[in-house]
Formats: sequence, C-alpha cells, structure tokens
Amino acid sequence: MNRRDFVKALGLAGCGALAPSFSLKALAEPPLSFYQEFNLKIKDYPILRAWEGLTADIVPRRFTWQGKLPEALNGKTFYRNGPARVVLANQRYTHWFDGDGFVHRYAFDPKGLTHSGKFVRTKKFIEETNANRFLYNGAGSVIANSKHSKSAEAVNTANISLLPVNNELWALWEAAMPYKVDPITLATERQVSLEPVLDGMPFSAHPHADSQGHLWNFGDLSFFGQSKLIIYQLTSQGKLTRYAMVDAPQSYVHDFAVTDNYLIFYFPPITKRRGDTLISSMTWHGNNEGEMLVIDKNTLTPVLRTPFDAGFVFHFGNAWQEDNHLTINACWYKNADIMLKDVKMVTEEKMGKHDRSTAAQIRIDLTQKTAYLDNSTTPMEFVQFDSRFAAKATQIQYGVHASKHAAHGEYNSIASINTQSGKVDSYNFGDNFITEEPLFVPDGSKQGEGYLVNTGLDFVSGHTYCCVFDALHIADGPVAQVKLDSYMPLGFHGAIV
Amino acid sequence: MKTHLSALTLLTLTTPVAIAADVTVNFAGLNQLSGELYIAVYPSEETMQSHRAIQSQIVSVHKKGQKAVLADLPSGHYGIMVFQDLDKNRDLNTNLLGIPTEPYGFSANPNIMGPPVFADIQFEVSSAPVQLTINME
Repeated sequence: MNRRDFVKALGLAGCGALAPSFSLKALAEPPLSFYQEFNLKIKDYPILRAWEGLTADIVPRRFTWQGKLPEALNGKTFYRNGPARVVLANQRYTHWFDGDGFVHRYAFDPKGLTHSGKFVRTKKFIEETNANRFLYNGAGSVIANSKHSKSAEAVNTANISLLPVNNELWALWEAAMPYKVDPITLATERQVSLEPVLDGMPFSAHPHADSQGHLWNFGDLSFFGQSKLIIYQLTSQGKLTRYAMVDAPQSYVHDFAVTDNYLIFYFPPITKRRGDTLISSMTWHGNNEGEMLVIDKNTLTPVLRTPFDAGFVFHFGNAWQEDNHLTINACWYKNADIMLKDVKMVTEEKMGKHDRSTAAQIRIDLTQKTAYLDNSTTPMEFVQFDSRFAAKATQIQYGVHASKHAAHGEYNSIASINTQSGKVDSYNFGDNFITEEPLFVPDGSKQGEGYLVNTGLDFVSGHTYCCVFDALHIADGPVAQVKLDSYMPLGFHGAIV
Repeated sequence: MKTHLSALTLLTLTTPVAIAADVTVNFAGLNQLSGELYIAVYPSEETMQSHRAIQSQIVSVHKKGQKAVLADLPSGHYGIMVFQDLDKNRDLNTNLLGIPTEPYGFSANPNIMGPPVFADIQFEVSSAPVQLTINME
C-alpha cells in the first residue's frame, strides 16, 4: 500500500483539514525522490531494468553463437548507441532521452562475438563526472540547483545514433555537433567540426545516404528559436559539400526522408517556448494541422509546404518518386504523447502503456500540391529498409513490432511488413522481452535478401541477446544468437560496418 | 600638526574622485589554458551597445585560477563582458547563428540565452574591493 492508498483508506483524501490533528508521521515524510522510487519499483517491475542504466564502461568479453552465423556477417561489427548514464550521486533522470550516450560494439566472427561498450566522453559527461553530480537539466529531466547551459553544446549527450563514415564512427545527438569515437576502442577522440562557422550548430541524429552516394542531414534551428532548418550535404566520406538555411515551422523534427530529387520533412503541430527543459518547452496542438515540407536537393529551396494531418513521427523509412508523386514510409503516432508524456513516466501507473506507432505511408502529389496519410494498424517503430534500394519503389520495411496481445506497452517482436500486400512476417520474442532496432545487412541481389541484426532484452532473466535473422524468414526465429552475461539499457540506433 | 593638516587637505582634495575600488575578477571554467581573455568594463547600457568600455584588459591565460584586477573603478554600476580568444584573431568567433564558438562570460553570470542587456550583468562598486567570479563555461 503506498501513501496515497493509505490516506484514501483512512477516508482522508477529501478531508485535508483533519490531517494535522492526526499528526500522521507518514504524511510528514518527504516524498520519495525519483531515484528512491525507481529503486523500490524495480524489484516488483523488472521491466524497469530496460531503463536502469549503466555506471561504467564494459570491457570486451567473448560469447559463442547458438546457431550458425551466416557468411555475409562474418567480420562485421555491429554498434548501438543509447542513453546509459542515468544516475549520478543518487539522482536519477526522469526522462529516457537524457542519459549520457554509451556505444556498444559487437564484433562478429564465425564462432561468436566480442562485446564491449564505452560512454562517450562528451564535455557534459566529463564536467559532470568531475563534479560527481548532474549539473544541467536534460531534455526532460529537471536537476535541482542546475547550472545554466549557455548553449545546446553544453548538454550534448551524443546518445542517439551512430554514423560510420570514412573509417570513423560519429556519435550523434540532434541539437549539437557529432563526437568522433574510435571504431575499435570506442575511445572518444574529438568533436567533428564540419566548418568553423557551423560549430555549435545542430546536426541531427538521422543523416541519410542517397542513391547517388551523397550524405544528407539537417539541423532543427527551432532549438535556437529560429523558424529555419539548416540542410547539410556531405560526401560519402563525410566532408561538407554545402549547406543552406531553409525557412521552416518551429516544431520538433527528429528525422526526414530522402528521394533522388527531394528532402521531405514533417512538422507536427508542436510549438516551443522558453521552459526548464526541451520537453517542458513544447506544447502539442491536436486541433491544429501539421505541415509537410519538400525541399529541392539541387537548389536547397522549398518546392512545397502543405498542411498535413496532426500526428507525430520520430522515424522515416524508404521514400521514392514516381512521376510527380512521392511515397514516404513513416512510423506514425496519432499525437506527440510518446515524446512529451509517456517516456518520462516509466515508474507510474501508466508504465509501458503508451500508444505505439504504426507503419504508414505519406503520399505527396507535387503537381496538385497535396499530401495524404495512408496509415495501417501494424505496430512498427525504428523502421529500416534494404538500403541498396534507397529512393526506389520498395515494398518491404523492417522494424520493431508488437504482437497482438503483448503484455506490456513496449515492442516484443521484430517484423517486416510488405506495404503493398500488408503481409507481416514477425518473430515474437515473448512478453519478457523488449526488442531494439533491427538493422538490415544485404546478401544476394534481390530486395529483402539479407539478414537482420538486432538486440533484445529479456528483462525477467536479466540478459540482453544479440540475434541474427534471415530477413526473408523472420518468423523462423534467429539463425544465430548470443546471450550476453548481463542486461543492457534499451538503446536507440545502431550501425553495421 | 602640519603633517596632519596636509594629509587632511590631500584627502579633501581627492575625495570626489577617490571613492573607487579595485575589482578582482576570477574566471571559472577555463578549460583551455591558452589564448587571451578580452575583458571590457561598461558603465551603462548605452556604452555597452556602442562598445565604449570604460576600462579594458587583455590577459594571457596560463593557469586554471586565472584572475584579472580592474584597478580603481569609480563608484557606480558596471557590467563586464569577456571572451577567450583561443585562436588569437583578436575577435570573438561566432557560428552561422551568431552564437559564440569561443568561451565567453559576463559579470553576474546571467541565466540567459543570447546577448545580455546591462541590467542582466551589472554589479555595484563603492569603496570596498570587489571580488567577482565569471563563469566561462
């Protein structure tokens, strides 16, 4: 029985005036800190292990495959980034997105894999390590007696994704510059400066390679109060080719889509104002429309800005152009609760009961200047596709998925969805699992021929698994898997080199 | 007695300008021990906007606990702006948005984003020495 129930049981909930005369000790006790509450609840709710976090780097350890590693994956290295330092000096972040970035490395060989991991030594990580406490408010967590951050760079956690480029590995956040880490030792080397005048500018966590071999990325300048995006074009070697600022709504944008000719952005109906944290500065306006923006890759100017359904998107899949029509795969949320409410409430009653995104397609008619949403009921997040077919009309998208009667609100499966037929090929890890982004590794020449590599957390037994699936036969289960010696916090995005 | 009188005369004569004090500025959060600190002291919003400092100093950064002493500031209100010129181009480098890309700080360490106004950074000088810490991180 918690304190609230105790008060209710005494019939005191509506009788505040009586409470002082009872002098109830329980009522006088200070509320539990989030750190204390989490430590209590994790005993009864092992699902919280997914957000428990890490406190130290992880040295390389060997594990043996169960099953047989496909030849196409021999010698590959799989990386994953995610928030991991979430506790310092008995203070726990209240929002999943705030933990300091931690890069996992899984080096594959025919017999097994070697796993290791390191925190990205960002300026923030070093400063807070030296102070032995969190100093700054996070994207969603408020820190008592926090230090004023003069710029986004001061709170750059480098915790979202990884970009392998030019034999380097960049750890990306979304409102500041990348950090370069050593692909083998994972030691943090330095920040990546594309050009001095771009230092301190946002570089999103979702750069995309196009079919011509260019890398594209953007920065959302609404983090700095501006109604603009900055667009970056880089060579496949990560050298800056050009950049431009483009007018855009002030909203929240995490990812975008790329076709041969266009860059496509969706702006949910979110406004920003000054607030203690990024999350508290954002307001959802469900009665307003969202907006689509299409930018010409050659001129870096908008060719279309059109109203669109109110909803929310973190991630886009493959996109392509046929005649004057664009098709964009996306994971669609009906509102922004996932970002603004749900992921910070992991110990509350709603724990894990948030809405999931569904596999959707956005269709834009550039002649008629219209756009519409073709949504499905298939749960899908962390969408991926066969990148050999980037910007070509494709049918198959991969992602994390939830089985029909999943016992928790997270994703317990991975799946491919055929967006033409609606057919879903999925593997359910079971209700004790939460699955993470599956990455596609091609083999053969046809679309979809290849393998999926993902990690999954068995939060009951307390083990993270690294699994390999035949991407054409996901339901058959993993062709090879390794059970780690412990459990890792849920991560975000990865890369395979 | 004569000596005493002279001293008194001197004191009387100098009093209108003698209410002044030294301001010692400590710089916290200097993470790179290189370059120079450009320190400018402004007595008003107007002088701040027109970049007419009442006093300025350039101090080489050699050690973590770097200090600067601004001597004999007449009583009044002042604001200090400082940046660390790491590449010695004698200018504060900024990015495309005008955000400084070299360390900088202000007296009173205001909790603001963007350039301050005088009221954000002002402090008072009277007859006692003043100690300030400017956070450069």
